[in-house]
Amino acid sequence: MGSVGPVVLDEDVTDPADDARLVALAQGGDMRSYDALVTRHRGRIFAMIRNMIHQEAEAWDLAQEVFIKAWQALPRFEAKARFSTWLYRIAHNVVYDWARKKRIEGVGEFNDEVFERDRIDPGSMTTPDTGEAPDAAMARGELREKIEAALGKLTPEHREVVLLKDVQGLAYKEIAKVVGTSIGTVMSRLFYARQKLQIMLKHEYESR
Amino acid sequence: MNTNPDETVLARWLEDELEGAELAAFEQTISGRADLHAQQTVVRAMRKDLAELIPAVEEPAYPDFFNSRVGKSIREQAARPAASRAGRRSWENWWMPATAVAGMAAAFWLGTKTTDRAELAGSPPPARPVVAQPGIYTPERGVDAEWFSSDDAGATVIVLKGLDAIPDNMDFSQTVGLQTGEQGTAGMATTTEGGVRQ
Repeated sequence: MGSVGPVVLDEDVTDPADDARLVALAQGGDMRSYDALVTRHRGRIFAMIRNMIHQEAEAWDLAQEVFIKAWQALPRFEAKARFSTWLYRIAHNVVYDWARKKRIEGVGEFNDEVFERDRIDPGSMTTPDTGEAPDAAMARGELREKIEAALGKLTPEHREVVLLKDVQGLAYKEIAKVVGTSIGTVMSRLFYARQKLQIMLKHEYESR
Repeated sequence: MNTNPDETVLARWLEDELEGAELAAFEQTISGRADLHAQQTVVRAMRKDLAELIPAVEEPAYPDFFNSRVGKSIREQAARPAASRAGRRSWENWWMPATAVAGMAAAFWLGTKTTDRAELAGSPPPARPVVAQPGIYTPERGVDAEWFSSDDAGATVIVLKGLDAIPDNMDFSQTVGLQTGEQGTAGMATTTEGGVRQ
């Protein structure tokens, strides 16, 4: 821990350099640094999980589990990948373990039934405030609702790559690491996911 | 003739991942395909909307509580495994091998004695169980040792009841020092003690 200087955080909370410093301190057992890492990444991890399963309370618990598992695995983290990518990988495993458990408990098959019991309220406080006119804002809200409904009808595998690529902004290589597959498979999943979305959202985009 | 473009290249083109000569060559091959260009327009619009409308960052409810609960769970888990792991290791490393080896040694010793008596009596011994005294020969309560021996069958069977299964991944070399040569049965007892001391 002595070789690692005090952490002055960059304003960009996703700056990998800050993550690397905090990770080094946390690997030395510094809980305050790990707490800072949780603060920096909880929003993205929670959003990703919530967008996957659409159940807020469960997403809260699963996001907790991600950070607890990450702490346990932290000594093995070698910084070959970005810390955030590593967290997405853990989140992927946690969500799929949860879905498998739900299937075993008889809630439903390992498909969208498990992921789709609740819908996100499009008027919730997380809706981006774009400063638009009320009509435009309403139209955007409706579009968001339709996009979320369409995403919800994709398979979890397809939905995950779309969310990681378009919403979280990961590169193909990073997505491949997160979902544990090849870049070719990621591209293929994206291709078919987009085709399905295009069919489901035909009326929204045909008129443009 | 199949005029459909290669699906992999098409996927990359739709994602705006083609560049330079590869992009030019591909666009030449689909120059008459208005449907693909329309698809690309829709995909671009969808990507833009997904990025703008679906939140990438969303603070969980009660974020401070979120952090404190993570910290609490970590501290609890850090305390719990230390105690349970120590206890489990103690059991695995000491009592399980010690019980097994002591039970087997006791049963073997009893078998030797029984055979000697049978030979002195001048008649072949019948196969019968001998119950070892757990209080004496096995350090773990609830463990019974029985052995069955028959000269006619040429077999001796030792049965230990009440022991937990020994895990497949247990490394006996860390708990029992093997001895060879003339030490024989006495060597087993000595080995057990030596192993337990580790």
